[in-house]
Amino acid sequence: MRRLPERVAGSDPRVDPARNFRYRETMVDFEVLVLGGGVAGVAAALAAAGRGRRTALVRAAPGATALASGAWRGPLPDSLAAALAAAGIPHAPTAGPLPHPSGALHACDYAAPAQHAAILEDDVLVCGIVGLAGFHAPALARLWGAAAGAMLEGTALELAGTPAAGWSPASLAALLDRQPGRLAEPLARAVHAAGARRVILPAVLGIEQTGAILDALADAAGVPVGEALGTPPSLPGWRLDRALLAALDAAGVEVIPGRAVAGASTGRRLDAVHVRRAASGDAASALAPLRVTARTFVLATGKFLAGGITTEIPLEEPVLGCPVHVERIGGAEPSWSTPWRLTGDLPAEPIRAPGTRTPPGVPPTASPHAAAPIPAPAAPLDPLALTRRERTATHPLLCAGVRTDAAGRPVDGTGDVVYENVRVAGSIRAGHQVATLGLGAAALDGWQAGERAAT
Amino acid sequence: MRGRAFAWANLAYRFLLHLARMPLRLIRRGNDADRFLNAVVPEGTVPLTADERAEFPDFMTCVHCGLCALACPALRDAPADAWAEPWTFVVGPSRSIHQPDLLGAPPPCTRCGACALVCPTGVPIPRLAAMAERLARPRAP
Repeated sequence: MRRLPERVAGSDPRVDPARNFRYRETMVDFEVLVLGGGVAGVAAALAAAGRGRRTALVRAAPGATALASGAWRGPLPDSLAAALAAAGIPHAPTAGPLPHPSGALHACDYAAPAQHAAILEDDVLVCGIVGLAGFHAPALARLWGAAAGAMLEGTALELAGTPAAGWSPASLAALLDRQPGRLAEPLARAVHAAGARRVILPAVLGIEQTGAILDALADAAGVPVGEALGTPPSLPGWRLDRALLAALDAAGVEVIPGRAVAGASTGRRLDAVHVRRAASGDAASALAPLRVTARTFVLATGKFLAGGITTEIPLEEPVLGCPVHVERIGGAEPSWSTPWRLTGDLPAEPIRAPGTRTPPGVPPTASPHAAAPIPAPAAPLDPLALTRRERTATHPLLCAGVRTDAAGRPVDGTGDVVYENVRVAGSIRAGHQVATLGLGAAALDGWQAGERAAT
Repeated sequence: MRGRAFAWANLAYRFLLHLARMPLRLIRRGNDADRFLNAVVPEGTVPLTADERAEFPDFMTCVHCGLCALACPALRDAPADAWAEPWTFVVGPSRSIHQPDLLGAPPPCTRCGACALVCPTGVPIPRLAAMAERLARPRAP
C-alpha cells in the first residue's frame, strides 16, 4: 500500500486528556472520498477512479461482504467484473442455483470458478471431511438431490493428522494452501469407488491457492471438482473481499484503514470527515487521527454488522448524523428514529473509541438550520413493531436506513437534501434488505453513486 | 425491652472483641488484597482490573463471524484445531468470565493484532487475549 501524504496541520495540536499525550491532526485531500469498504463502497471507488478522480476509501474492517456465501445475485457491472477477473476471481454467469451447506439451493446469477463447478447432476459425489463440522455429506446429498431432482451420493474423506477437536474452515484452508495435494489421494479413491462424474467439496479449498488446489484435485480425481457455498466464516466471501482490495490497489485508490467517526459541514455541504485510524497490534495508542477533505463523498458504511446504522434504539447513522428512516408495522406514518442534525464542525473533544457510547444527558449537536421543522419521533420505537412473525418476510427493522432522493443524496423527513455532496449507496439505504437483494444490487448501487460523485 | 438490652450488650461485646483482635492484624500473613484473592481464586471468581472492566463493552460485541480466524497469520503457519482460533477465546471470556479453567490464549497466538484489524465490530482481540491469559493464571508473576 502506498503511504499517505503526511501533510501535518501544525496549527491545531490537540491534547487527549484520556491518554495525556499531544497529537496532531493530519490532513489529506481528495476529490472523492468513499466511506465503507464493502462491495458498494469498492464499486463506487472504482467508478470514481475510472473517471479520473483522485479517490480514497476509508475502511474500518471487512463487513458483510466478506461474509457472503459466494453466490452473486443481481447485476454485475462490467468494469467491476473486469476488476475482479484481474484480481484473480473471474465471475461468470451460472446456469442455476448453487448448493448451500444449509441443505437448500441458493439462487445465483454469477459465481467464482470454484463455485461454478458445483453443478448438481446425476452421479455427483458430495464429499465431506472427517472432523469438519457443518457439512454432513450424506444428508446434504439427499437434500440437494431432492431439490435439484438428481441422484447424488455422499461420503466423507479422512485426512491424516486430523486435530482432536476437529478442523475449522480456516485451519483446513490454511493447511491446503501449504499442501495443495493433501486431499488428492483420498479424493481419488472416493471418486473411483463411487464412479462419480463430478465432486462437490465444502468451501475450504484454500485462501490464496484456490486455483492450484482445484487443479491438483481435478487432476488426481479425473473429474471436475467444485466448492459448495460457504457459511460464515465463509472462504468464498473472504476471497471476494481480498479481491476487492486488490482491485482498489490496481485502480490507484488510496485505502485508509480506520473508522470514519465524524463529519464537518458548512451549511448543506460536507467539507471533511474525521477518521480514527486503526492501530495495529495491541498498542493502546492510536495513530494521529486524519481529517480527510474531499469535494464529494459516498456513504457506503453498511448496516448493522459494519456499524453504518447503530444497533441500539434509536437507530442512528453515527458518522454524518443522517436521519434514519424506519417504517413501522400497523402505523401508516413512517417514523424517523432520529431528528436529523447537521454536523457543524469536528468535535472539540478527542475522538471516542469505537464502541463507547455517548453518555446519557449529553444534548445532541444543535442544528445550524434551527428554523427548519424537526420531525420528532411520534412514539419510541417498539421492537415488536419492527419485525414480523414470519421469518422470511420483509422486516421493517432490516429495511431501516438513510433515505435518498432520485440522485442518491440523503434526505430528511420533509424530503429536503441533508448533504448536497454526499451520495448514499449499498445496504445503508432505507428499503434495502441486503440478504434478499444480494451483492449485485449493492454493487450496482455503489457504481451509480461513484459515477454521480465523479461528475 | 429485654430484647433491646440484649442487642446492645451483644454489640458492645462484639466491639470489644474487635478491639482485642486489632493488634493481631499486624502479624497476619499477606495484605488484604492477597487474602481476598486467596479466598476467591480457588472458587473461580477472579476480579477484573479497572481497565478490563472499562473495555468489557467492547469485548462483548463479538458476533461470531469468524473473520479473525481467516486473518490470523499464526494459524496460517501452523493450523491448529477448531478450538484454538481467536473467536473461540473471544466468545468464551466475554460470555462466561467466571471459569478461568476454560480460558487461555491459543498456543500459536503472537499478539500481532491482525485479527483486531478485520473485526467488523471492533473487538480488541489482543487485549482480550491478554485478559484471558491473566485470568487463567492470575497468580503468575
